[in-house]
Amino acid sequence: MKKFWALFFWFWPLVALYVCLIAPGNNWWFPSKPLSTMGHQIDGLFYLILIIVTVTFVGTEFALGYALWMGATKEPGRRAWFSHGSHKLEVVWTIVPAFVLVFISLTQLDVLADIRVLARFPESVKEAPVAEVMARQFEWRIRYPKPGTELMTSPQPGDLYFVNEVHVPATVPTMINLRTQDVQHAFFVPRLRVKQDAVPGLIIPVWFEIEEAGEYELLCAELCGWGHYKMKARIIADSPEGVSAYLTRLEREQNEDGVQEAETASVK
Amino acid sequence: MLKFRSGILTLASGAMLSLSVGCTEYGQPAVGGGASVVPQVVFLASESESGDAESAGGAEATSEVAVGSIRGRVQIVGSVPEMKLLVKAGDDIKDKEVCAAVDVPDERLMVSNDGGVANVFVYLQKAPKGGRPVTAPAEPFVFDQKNCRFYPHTVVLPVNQTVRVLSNDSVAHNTHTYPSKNNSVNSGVAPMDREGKLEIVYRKAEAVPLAVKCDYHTWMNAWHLPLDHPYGAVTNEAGDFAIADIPAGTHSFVVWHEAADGNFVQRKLAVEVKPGEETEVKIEYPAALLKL
Amino acid sequence: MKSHVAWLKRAGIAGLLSIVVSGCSDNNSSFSISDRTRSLIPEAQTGVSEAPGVVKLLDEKFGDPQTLKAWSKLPVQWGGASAKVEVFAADGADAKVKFVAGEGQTFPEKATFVNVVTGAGAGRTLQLSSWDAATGEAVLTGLGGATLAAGDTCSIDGGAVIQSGRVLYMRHCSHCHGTAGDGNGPTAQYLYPRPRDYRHGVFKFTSTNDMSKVSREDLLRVLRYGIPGTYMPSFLLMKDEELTAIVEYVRFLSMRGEFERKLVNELASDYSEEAVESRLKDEQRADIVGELAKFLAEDVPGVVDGIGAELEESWVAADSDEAKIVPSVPRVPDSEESRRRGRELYLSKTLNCADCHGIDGAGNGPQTVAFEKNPITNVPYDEPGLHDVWDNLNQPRNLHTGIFRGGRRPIDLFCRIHAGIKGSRMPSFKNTPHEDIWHIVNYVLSIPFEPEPGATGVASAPAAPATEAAAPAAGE
Repeated sequence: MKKFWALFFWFWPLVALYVCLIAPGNNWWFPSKPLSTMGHQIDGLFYLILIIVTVTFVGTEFALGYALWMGATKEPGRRAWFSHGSHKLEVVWTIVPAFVLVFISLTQLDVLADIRVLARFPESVKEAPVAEVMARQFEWRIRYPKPGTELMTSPQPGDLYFVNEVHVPATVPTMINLRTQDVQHAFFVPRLRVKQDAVPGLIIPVWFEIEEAGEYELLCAELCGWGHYKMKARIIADSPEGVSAYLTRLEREQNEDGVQEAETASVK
Repeated sequence: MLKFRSGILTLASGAMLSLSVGCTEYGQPAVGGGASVVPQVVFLASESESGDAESAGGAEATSEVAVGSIRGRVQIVGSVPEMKLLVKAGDDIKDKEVCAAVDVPDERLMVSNDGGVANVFVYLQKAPKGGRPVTAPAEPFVFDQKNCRFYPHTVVLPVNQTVRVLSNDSVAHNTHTYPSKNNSVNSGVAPMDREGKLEIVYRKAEAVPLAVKCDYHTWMNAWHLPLDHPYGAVTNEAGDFAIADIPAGTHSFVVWHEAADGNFVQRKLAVEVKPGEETEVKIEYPAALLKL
Repeated sequence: MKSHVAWLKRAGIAGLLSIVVSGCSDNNSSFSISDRTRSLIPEAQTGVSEAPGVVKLLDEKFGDPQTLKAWSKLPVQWGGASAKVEVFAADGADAKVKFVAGEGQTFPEKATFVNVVTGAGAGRTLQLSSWDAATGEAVLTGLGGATLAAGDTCSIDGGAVIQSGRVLYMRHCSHCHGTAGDGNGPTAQYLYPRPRDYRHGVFKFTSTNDMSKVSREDLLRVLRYGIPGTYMPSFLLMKDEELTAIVEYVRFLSMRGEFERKLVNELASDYSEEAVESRLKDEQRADIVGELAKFLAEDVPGVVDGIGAELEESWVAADSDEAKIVPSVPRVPDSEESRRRGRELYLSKTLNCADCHGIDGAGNGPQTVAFEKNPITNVPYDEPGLHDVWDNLNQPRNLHTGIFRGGRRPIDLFCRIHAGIKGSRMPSFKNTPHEDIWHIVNYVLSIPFEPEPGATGVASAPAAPATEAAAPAAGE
């Protein structure tokens, strides 16, 4: 009976390790490999921390189980051994984790700066955001500048509007201006590992470089109300020519006067 | 240990009970409940089983039926309140150059010197058996407005007759009808529109007269009554009305006026129409009914 | 603690937990009954002896959310194909049947059930154990003694669209729009503007002319792109079939609401509580109820069919080409001149836009305080102003925000002006020359970008009589 608890505390970490090992094979892991340049770095940080934490976890659980086992297998009636603590041990297990944490925080500085510090954004994106993504309960309103002009903070005549679908160029660093109309939302594209909170009153530039053309899911990652769970949009990464053709179609649709039929199928 | 085991059992049994209640199955008649249940769909035939061929509108024309007519007056009984002008010439109101160019009386109660009440509707609610059907004349009915006043103030119309809305004012109006059974019309009328570009057609008979107003000049008011039979009339300035060729028999007339409390002066005025004769009908309108 | 007491305690806790999790009621939803229906006397609502009243008739023709009734008269795409029975041959407990597709209908590739519409088996759902779409031959099971005769109308896999529509509607729409589409779901009280009440059959943002109803295309458009400036979100990410199904269900709910409203209209003038109260001065209640019973038994079936025919006509017409607004001229190119002309028209006495929308387009014109009472009932409003047919206070649009609820395309604005906004106090200006409407559209699209409000074109509002003389020429 007493051995049961030692075995119990050894068993679960082993199960956890096993599940972690088989997870990627069973598709219980990330939605896909990271498909943006930043995504690789973020995944790298994630794995670094995962490894550090796993080593610590296995080590401590093993020690716990060992202590229980020792307690369980000693004969009953044996005198207990009293300890008044060990100063040396306490120092060691304060300094070592401190170093580990400082190491982690220093390692991630670069990545954080690349994502958040405007000065470190790629040159090509800084001046020209592709679109303004305005989050609102419970949809994403997109405003593109008139083709051939730059996106301004305030709406301009000729700006193109759409909802819940963003077209951006792939393999080219791209930036969007993130805003919110009402409460806090978050711009989260899991397959790109991009996540940024949208804060009322702020215009937050978010940049990414998508590696593969295709469709990506944009989710809201900050609880914003009853519809938060279904606040999704599509990000369509296309070649720059494809994006520009889309914007031309959108412009034509937006200027529809009911008399001249749209030459291409309406933008859906 | 015991406490632990019993706790788990409690939770498990509670969970199982609630899960079983909430489950539904696709394709079956609606099972369980809640918003996600797939409903059963039962198809109904188009026509109801007891649908009669003759519906409430339109009566058969028979030349055999003996007809009579009625003529009468709506007389106010009791003291008539003094009616102030709705608009006095020169009043400072909206578009006063046009709307306050002349005096406009308050048409809610127009009583002649003899006490006859104008603009009272007297009509049969349903087409009587053996009555004539009504055909809409090809000529449209002209509904005009001048000095922010509708002309005429009241009218009985056959269904499907086109009403052409004209304007004799140099300001824009907008004609907004408030029917119960027909489709509402809310459309702008250009100034000095003598052609009458706006046309209104009432396709269904109404049970009571419907209001016609202008949203720009909210005091403008008129009443239209589309009927699917010809047995309806409005009293003239003297309070007189006449309806001809009514199939003989006892009929129940509605007497309706905009200033009466509840609008009905009489809900069911029984009148016996004798064949070949003209029945005199005196309708008393108690002043106590007035709600102005 | 004694063990049987402990087990009783546990059973009690388990029971309590399950109730807390699943609720006490049977979880069935129901369609609400409108206030107008509730203003009738009880006999008119429920019926007198055998003759059904409004509530029963509604249930007969439309059902409840668990069992929907598909009244074939209504122009709703219930799903499935309508067909007639050609040959029926009983074969033990099953039956071999040959169907002929109805006019303009194609058989679905796969089908699992048949809804019988007319004939001895009307209202039943029979299972198809085999189905051949090419020939229309099938084997029916679950007959339970019912027989079908040649000429009986059936619907193959009938109701699939409306079923799916209902499930999706309850999941995505009912919390604001209500189970019956009455705009009074649980979240509705927190929203401004309020969610649409479908029961009038009126929808504001349409591309059809002022006398027509909303088309399917318009409803799909609203679902796809949402209504900016309101709480109606976009459902662009839903599949086309899902959106189509929801549109059909919304039309169904709208027709149900209209049916209720029209039926009550027939009864209200004589049998509402108010009317009966005034009639009691001259008549006995028993006589009134007797009259009502006669009316319900003899006349109402015809009325019901008449209402069905009206609904069929109006909703089918809404999708026709005649109903759609097509400008007679293409949009006048957007230019300084056109905008100036637009502003002139805006301020002119011909159109009176400034009366509601304000001299500078801020939505603060004098008409916004002109309506103190409901023009029909003369009951004073809680807040004076322009009210729509749902009794909500409408602010005329502030044109400076650049938010266009019905869409920002030039054709959308054209339709708003041409047909007005149905249900609201924005009237239709269908008799204005189309070129003039385009000038106004160009002006309105430019208002948000004016350097200062009212800066476009004419500096001062021409209210002097001089322009009135010019006004007749506007009818060009």
